[in-house]
This record gives sequence, C-alpha cells and structure tokens, in this order.
Amino acid sequence: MNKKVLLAEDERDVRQFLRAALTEHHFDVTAVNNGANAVVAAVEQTFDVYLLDMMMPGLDGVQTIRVLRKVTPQVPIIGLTGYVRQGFMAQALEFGVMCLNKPVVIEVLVKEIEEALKK
Amino acid sequence: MIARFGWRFHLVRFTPTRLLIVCVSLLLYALVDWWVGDALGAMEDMLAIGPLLLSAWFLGHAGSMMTLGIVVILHFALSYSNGEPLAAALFINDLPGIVVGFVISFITGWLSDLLARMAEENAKRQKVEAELRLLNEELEQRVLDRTQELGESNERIERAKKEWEATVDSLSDLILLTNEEGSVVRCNRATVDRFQKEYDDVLNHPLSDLFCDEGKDCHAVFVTPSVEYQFQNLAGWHHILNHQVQWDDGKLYYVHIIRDITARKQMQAAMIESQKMADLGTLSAGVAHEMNSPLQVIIGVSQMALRQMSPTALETDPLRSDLEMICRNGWRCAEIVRSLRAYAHTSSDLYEPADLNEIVRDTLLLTAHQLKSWSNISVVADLAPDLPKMECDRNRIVQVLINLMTNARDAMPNGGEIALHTEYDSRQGRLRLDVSDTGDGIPEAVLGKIFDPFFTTKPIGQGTGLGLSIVAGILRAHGSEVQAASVVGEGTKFTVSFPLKQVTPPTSDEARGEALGRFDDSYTSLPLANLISTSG
Ligand SMILES: Nc1ncnc2c1ncn2[C@@H]1O[C@H](COP(=O)(O)OP(=O)(O)OP(=O)(O)O)[C@@H](O)[C@H]1O
Ligand SMILES: [Mg+2]
Repeated sequence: MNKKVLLAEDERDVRQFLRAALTEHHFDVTAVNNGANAVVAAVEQTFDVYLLDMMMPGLDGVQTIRVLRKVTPQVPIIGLTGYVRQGFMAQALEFGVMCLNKPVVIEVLVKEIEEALKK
Repeated sequence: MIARFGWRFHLVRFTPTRLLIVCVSLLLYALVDWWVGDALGAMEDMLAIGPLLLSAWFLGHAGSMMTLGIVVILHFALSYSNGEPLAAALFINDLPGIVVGFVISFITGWLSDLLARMAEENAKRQKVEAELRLLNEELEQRVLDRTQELGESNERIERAKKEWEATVDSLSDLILLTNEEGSVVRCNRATVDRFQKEYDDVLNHPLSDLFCDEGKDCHAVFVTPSVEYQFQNLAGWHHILNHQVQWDDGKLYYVHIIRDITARKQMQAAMIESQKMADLGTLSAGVAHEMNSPLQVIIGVSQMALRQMSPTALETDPLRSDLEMICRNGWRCAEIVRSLRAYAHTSSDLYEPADLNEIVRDTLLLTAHQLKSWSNISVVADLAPDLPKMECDRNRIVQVLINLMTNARDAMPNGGEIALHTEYDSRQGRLRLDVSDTGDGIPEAVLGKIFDPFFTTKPIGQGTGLGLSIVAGILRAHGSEVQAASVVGEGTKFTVSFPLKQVTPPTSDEARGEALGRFDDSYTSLPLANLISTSG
C-alpha cells in the first residue's frame, strides 16, 4: 500500500510538481496550500509523513510544525525551504525536523522520506 | 549823606577789637570833658579838640563814620549835660576841630577801609588762588587717571584684537572678509597657509582670483548662503557659508567661511557603500527565496519530463537535449542564488571557537577531489603551530578559503602554486591568513574594484563577480579585514586578519526576514490561534 504524504506548499506550481513527482514515486499525496489547512487535514485524516514548506502565509512552517507535533506527535515531518534562515532551520531542528533546501533533487527528497518512514 | 552813611555802615565790621577801641575812646573823651570841663575855662576849646582828634583818630582807625557821628552827638549831649548852655557856641567853637576831625577821620577811615578792603581782597584772592590750585591739582589728577584708564582700555582693546586674531587664526576653516567689489579685506592664517601665499598676495586681491580657475566663474559660490562645492584650485570638497554684514560706514561686506568636508564626503560615500551592501544582503535574501521555488519547478519538471520520455526515444532526440539544457541552466541559476545567499547570513548564532589551521585542512580535504582536477596547480600549506582559537562561523570561513583559492586557480591557467599561510600576531592579538598565487596578478586600476559585487574580468558564464564581495561580506561580519596585494605577471596575495573574539552583534536574520515582509500573519483562524497559544 502506498504511503500517505501530506504536502503543504503555498506556491501552486511547486505544489503541483511535488505532487506529480511524488506520485510518480508511488506516494499517495494530499496537497494543501497553507499551514492551517495542513492542520485541518492532519486532524481529519492520518498520514505517514508531513512535507512542509517553511515559508507560508498565515501559519509558517515552524508554527505548523508546533501544532502538528501537538496533534500527531508520531508522524515524521520534513521541511522544505527556499530561503535558508539559520534561525529557521535551528527552530525546525528543535522539533527534530530536517529541512531541505530548494531546489531539491526529487531522488534526494524521496530518500529522505524513506529514511524518515523507517524510524 | 545818609545814603553814604548807610553804605559805610555796611562796610564796617564790628570786630571785638574795634568795639574795644571805640569804647576806650568814648570813655577817654567823657573823662577829659567831665574832669577838665569848666575848671580850665579857656583851655576848654583847645582841650576839646584834643580828645575829639584823638577819638577821631581812634575812630578813623576803627573806620567807622557812624561811630564818629555818635561821638559828635555824644559830645553835644555831654556838653549839654554839664549844664553848659552854650551848646551852639561850643558847636561853633568846636566846628573847625570837628571838621578837621571829621576830615581826618574820614581819610583815615577811608584809608583803613581801603587797606582793609585790600587786605580782604588779598585774602580773597589768596583763597581763590588756593581754590584754583586745588582745582588745578584735582584736574591734573583726573587727567592722569583718565590717561591711565585710556591706556588700560587701549591695552584691553589690543588684547581683544589679538585674541580675536588668534581665535580666527586657530580655525582650520578658511575665513575671509570681502568688500562689495569682491576684494579680500581680511583673511585668517588658514587661508594663506592653504594657498601657500603671503598675506599681501591675498589681501586686496579679488576673491575669484584665489578660488576660481582662470576663465571660470565661480562667483555664485560666494553669494549663496550655503553651498557645497569642489574648487578647481583646492583639492576635495568644501562647504561654503556666506554672510552679508553692514559696517558702520554703511558699506556692505561679506564674510566667507570655507570648510574642507572631503573627509565627511568620503565617510558618506563609505556609508552609502555599506548601506548598499546591507541592501544587497536584504535583496539577496529576498532573491534567494523568490528564485528557489521557481527554480525548483524548472529543474524538477524538466527532470521529470526527461524521466517520462519514452525509453525508446533516442539519445539524440532534440527534445531530450533541450530538456537537459533547461535543467542544466536551472542548476546554474540555483548556484548563483546559493552564492547570493551568502550575503544574507550574518547570524552570530554559529560563532564558535575554532582552530584556523583545522579550517584550512578541512577545506583542503573537502576540495581534494576538485584540486586533483586543477591541472598543474600545487597547493602548499605553511601553518603556524599552536594557534589560539578564534570565534567564527566555520563553514563561512571555509567558503572564504574556497572563493580565494578558486580565484587563484583562475589566475593560473598555465599552472602554478597556491600558498596558504597562517600565523598569530600576539602584539595585535589577531590571526593572519595569507592566500597567495603565482598567477597573472591584478592591474593597479582594477585592484580597487575587485571587492565590488558583480565585478569580474572573466567571460560571461565563468564568473559572476560575486566571489570576492562574498569574501568581504563574510569577513566584515567577522570583524575581519581582507587586503589584496598584487604584482602583474608575478602573482597576488590576499591577506586576512581575524580577531580572536567577536564583539559586535551582527545584524540578525530576523530583521532581514522582517524587511522582506514575509512574516506578517495575513491568515489566522480562531481555533488554530487557540491551539497555538495552548501549545506555546
Ligand atoms: N588571485 C587573483 N589573481 C588575479 N585576479 C584576481 C584574483 N582574485 C580576483 N581577481 C580578479 O577579481 C575579479 C573579481 O573576483 P571575484 O571572485 O569577485 O569574481 P569572479 O572570480 O570574477 O567571479 P566568481 O567568483 O563569482 O566566479 C576577478 O574577475 C579577477 O579579475
Ligand atoms: Mg571568484
């Protein structure tokens, strides 16, 4: 059975691409466009892994991580960021969340997700 | 006669002595008249004259005509009281005596009055003279005082003048006073010093001769109240202040104050430069963010398309090579953005004590496989042992080294040597790192620009011109300095000096993020807000 991925990414093209690429790699992708919707989705359904853009309007990546950790502490989270703010990465790391820099090679991302799922 | 008496009366002063004389003479007369009187009979007339004369003399001496009058009346009265009925006869008998006595007494009275008056006048004159002398002395004293005062005030004026001269001369600003015709009336020392002239060469000469180039009119500079200007005859920038003053004589003058503001201008330029760098930091952070998502799409989608191409498609399929080209250039953009990002980080969070030698060795290890491909280039490391640790962001110092070494490689297309050298300057308490090469070198004219962002001499596609500006940015954030020295044809040496400790708090990334305006909460729904606060 395909693993279920919740993807939160505010930019439409990136979202579409990631969904397509991950689907191609046999993931079941639910894509939302912001942190708030990610939380709503996480409450309504269960996922195997969360993939979050760190910079989103409204709830940003770190805030979303904080809420998701409360709601579903067992689900691993992977961050994606185009703008490497050291503070950002460090904050995400406090929650045990690794951030990948955009642009990311899809194979690298898939490998990260698989690593996370193993734990 | 009466008026005369009255006048006389006023002239007579009854001093005690005179009163005594009058009394004595009256007594004498009365005694003789009474005693001798009738007894002597015929002698009476003669004798009568005697006391009368005597008394007249006395009285004359006493100077009193009035007393004489009284004596005459008393004479009659006494004669009458003696029971002598012949008052009239006596009067007649006595008449010549009386007249003589009268005349004598008048003359003596007049004389004594005259003498008294003269004496009085004399006394008065002496008094006046004394007063005059006193006044004179006082006057002299006052003249003396006044002269002294004048001298003192002159001295004060002189001192004030000197003080003002010294004040104006001590200023480094050029200060000039000109008249309506524009000729210099006065100027301070700084002015003559600045032009290396004598006062005579400046005073009474037109102001424009001094400051303006021949044939060039800079008159306007000296009538505008305040202006900044670059004179042809004086190096650098100047701030000119012009004031109009009106003297007592009604003529108009101008005071010009000319201040050298070259240093300030330079500082301003430097500040603008550093502001530019700060702006560039903000900008690159923004660019990095904005570019990476589209690059993700370009690279990701082209790679996906490549994968999805039918496996049967030929290697030579033009679509394949087109997609590969898109992908390749996408990565190139991503590289540029990544190097731009180096500007955006100045966070001090990661400053930890590190060994500079270790950083150098790590860098060589990291780049070992690349170094192998650098044809004919050898790297020598000459590292001083036991360096004290320095606070730094390791990764970024590695970046500095890589950028410097890459440039060195580019400067040696035909091979050469890169030398890395570390050393501790205990006197300054700073660490030094040299990166030298034996490459082409940098011409003098270019040397000043190499740290400018986007300055490159390399062909398009090979250099972005960001390498050294990133180096400078990183080092600035570390309170360090970098200097380049070069001899064309021989090589180039970059020298970096690091402090051991970081003191200045570098600008935070937080602030940068704010500047990008990416963090405002435009979306918050209520339940979530609650969730956040309870999870907080
Ligand atoms: N070691 C060196 N020897 C000779 N010239 C140098 C050296 N280092 C830098 N330069 C000169 O300074 C310029 C700017 O260097 P910089 O590293 O900023 O940009 P770049 O090397 O041209 O581009 P990039 O580093 O982005 O690839 C270079 O183009 C080159 O002309
Ligand atoms: Mg370079």
